[in-house]
Amino acid sequence: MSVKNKTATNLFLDIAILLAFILAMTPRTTGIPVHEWMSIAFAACVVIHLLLHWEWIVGVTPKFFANLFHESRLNFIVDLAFFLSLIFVMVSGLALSKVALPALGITPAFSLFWRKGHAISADVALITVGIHCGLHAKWLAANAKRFLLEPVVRLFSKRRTAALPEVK
Amino acid sequence: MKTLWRVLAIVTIAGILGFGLYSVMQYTGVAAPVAANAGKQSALVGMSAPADAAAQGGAVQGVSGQGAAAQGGGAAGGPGARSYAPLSLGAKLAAVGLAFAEFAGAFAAAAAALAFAKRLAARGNKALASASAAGFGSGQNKKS
Repeated sequence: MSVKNKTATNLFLDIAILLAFILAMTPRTTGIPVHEWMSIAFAACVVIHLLLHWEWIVGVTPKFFANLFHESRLNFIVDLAFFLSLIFVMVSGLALSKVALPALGITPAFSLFWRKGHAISADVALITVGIHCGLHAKWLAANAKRFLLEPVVRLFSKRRTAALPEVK
Repeated sequence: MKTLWRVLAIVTIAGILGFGLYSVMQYTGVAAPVAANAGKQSALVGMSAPADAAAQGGAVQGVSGQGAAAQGGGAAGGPGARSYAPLSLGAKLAAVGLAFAEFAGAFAAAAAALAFAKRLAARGNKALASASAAGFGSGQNKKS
């Protein structure tokens, strides 16, 4: 895969994951069944996201303790916090499941700990994903301009050029 | 094949952490079902009365509020105290908007903090370079 294609794939996948995550954060909007299945699909998307950034993860992990201050270290800490909060969200979500697990014949007993833990860890996950994206704001802005804004602008400018009468 | 191993590694790490967390919480009794320790859980999360726990248990498990409260040893909660009523389209959009605002707040704060830190670091480097050029300090950059 070329660098351009890889960047475009990353961008579109990340935007889709983010939108799905924000939608999954509002179970009262989507309804519990959509919330649960979307969250399970979201976990699969996170695995794909990690696969696409595998080289970075493998590259940064051994260097973590080498330098005291560098941006990758901060990214790594934020990503780890996000990963752990995501695990808590998924575990507590499954422990509270009213649709997905009962569909498989497992009915978990309601626990307040998981209920509160689910809400708190979901908030932590949303904040950490915000920080995660904020730390990559430059990359996001540059590639959103390149792959989203510029094609649209180009499309309109082509149409305008085609619509203009020929000057003799 | 390489991708398969990577997926396996990610799922294994997440699975071990997730299952470990679940097991610890279940077996220590922290995450015991609501009917068994409604009062204890309410105290744990800082709620004022076990009624809330009873209401949640009642609403979710389909038990009456009174019955769940009796099991949990607290006051009557009422079956519908915490159940979700259907939202209007405006309220649904507002909920999504709020979640997005929470995300955007964290995003903006992180981006601004990073930009500020980079600017500070650049200023520090500039000051260090000019001090070094002027002959101050004892580092490798010192002019002899």
